[in-house]
Amino acid sequence: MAEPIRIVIIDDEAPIRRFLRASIEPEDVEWIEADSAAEGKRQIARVNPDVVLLDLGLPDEDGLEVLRSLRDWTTVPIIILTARGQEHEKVLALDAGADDYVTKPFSVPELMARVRVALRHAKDTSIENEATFELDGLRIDFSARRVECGDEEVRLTPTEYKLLAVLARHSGKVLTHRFLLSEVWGPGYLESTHTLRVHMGALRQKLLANHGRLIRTETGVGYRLG
Amino acid sequence: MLRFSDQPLSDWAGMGLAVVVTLCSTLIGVLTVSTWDHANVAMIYLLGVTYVASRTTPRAATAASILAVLAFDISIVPPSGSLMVHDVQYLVTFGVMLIVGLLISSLTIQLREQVAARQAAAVAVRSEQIRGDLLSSVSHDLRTPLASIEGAASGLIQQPDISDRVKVLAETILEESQRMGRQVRNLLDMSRFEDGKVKLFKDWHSVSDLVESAIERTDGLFKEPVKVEIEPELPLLFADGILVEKALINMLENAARHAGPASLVHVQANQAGNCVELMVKDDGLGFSKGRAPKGSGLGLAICRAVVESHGGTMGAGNLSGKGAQVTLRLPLSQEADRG
Repeated sequence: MAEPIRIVIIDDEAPIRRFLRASIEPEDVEWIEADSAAEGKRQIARVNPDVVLLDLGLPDEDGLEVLRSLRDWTTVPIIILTARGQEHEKVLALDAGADDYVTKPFSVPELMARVRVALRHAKDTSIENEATFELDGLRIDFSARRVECGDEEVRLTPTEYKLLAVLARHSGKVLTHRFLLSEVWGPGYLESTHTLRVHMGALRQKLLANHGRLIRTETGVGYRLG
Repeated sequence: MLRFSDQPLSDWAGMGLAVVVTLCSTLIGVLTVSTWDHANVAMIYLLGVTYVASRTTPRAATAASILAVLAFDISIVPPSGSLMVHDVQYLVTFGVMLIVGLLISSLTIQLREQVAARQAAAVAVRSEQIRGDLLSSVSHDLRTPLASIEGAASGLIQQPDISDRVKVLAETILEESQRMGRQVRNLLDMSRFEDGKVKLFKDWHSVSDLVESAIERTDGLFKEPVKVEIEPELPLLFADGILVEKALINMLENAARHAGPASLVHVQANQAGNCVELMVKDDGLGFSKGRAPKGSGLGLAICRAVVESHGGTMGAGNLSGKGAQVTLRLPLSQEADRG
């Protein structure tokens, strides 16, 4: 029997904490609840969790500040919980070191999918160094710089390849425009969303209808592969 | 000090007041003209004009100025009792008196209007604050419990040991709380638009990104997959992506609501002049005569507000065969080569 995932949830809404605890078997997840930023930080230091769920609207401290102070001393995956319409805050939080986000209202499967992706990337850093990547018929051979959809090879420009490679290395995670621009084009191009859109459009078209849809748009935030 | 009444008197009441005040001024003038200089008597008339202006409309104030000059001429300036004037210098007095009277009345009326406008603005700011506070608290108070209801229902559905009956009940709770959530969001969005509180965060967006994302977000509303047709090489839009996506979601939801979940929905995007046209077509019964596009719910009102905030237009109508079509026209940026 595998150890349960240890999750610290920092949210001042008791009903949210309660339904999450009730929805998931205690063998799967061990919940540690905190209703304030101060309590959350204390619990994280005490229990050394696998994942942290952090609500951005806490009563005692600004969520972004909490995130930054956590990132000073821990690399634990942090998933932020926010409301719809706060895309700007999501981007700030992601650029400040959050691993992913879930928009309230969220469903239990949606949240757990995000938790599993964050855990996969945190536990197994070798993911980012693997020689190949495969997802629903999309195959990337990083050593040969070769991309296939089904059995057909797809010819990409160096920029398109780089873009796809960055998405694949972080598959399942949302990547902000800034992050993609700095990884693919370099830190001097952080505002060039126009360029990013053009290349992303071309990349998707080359990946053909079904595979192009594997890259999902998170409007106002970024892109996610898978 | 002059006091300004909130509501000026009507034209006719103002004229009446002008006559009464002129008569009073004349009475004082006739009683004092033997001992006072004529110039001082003229001042009494001007005081009367100022009073009338502070209480009435511009027209009545003008009438008061003219009446004052006429009354001064007839009753004070020799020969009294007639419009005749012996000394030509009185014509200058009349002219000055008329100009000063008109000037005072227009300045007085302006001042009164400014005071009224400032008072109205103060009231508007106060009610705006109350409205804003109310909205944000409604937003929080409704959305927070809805998030828990929705989440709990989703947790219940995934339990391995529930019966089909319980599952149907849980799904009903989930779907209806989602519907209510959308409705609350739409209400808040609409009132933000009405208050002019919506700020645009414009950036470059590809139309196909926005369409795909909107379709994904309305996943579950349709049984048949939504058909998408986007003109190749469509230029990027410089727009608030979240808002355009919101408009598209509302168009799709509108199609689902009126044409039913089994309908075939078709999203099209193409360039038309210096605009991008986004169309959502369904194969339902279309807009009925009584259901003009404007009155067909909050969803389309939000679409209209979104497009208009971007300087675009919206159209809605019935297709020649069967079904309805809603079209958004968004202007393409003039600085399209930026980036």
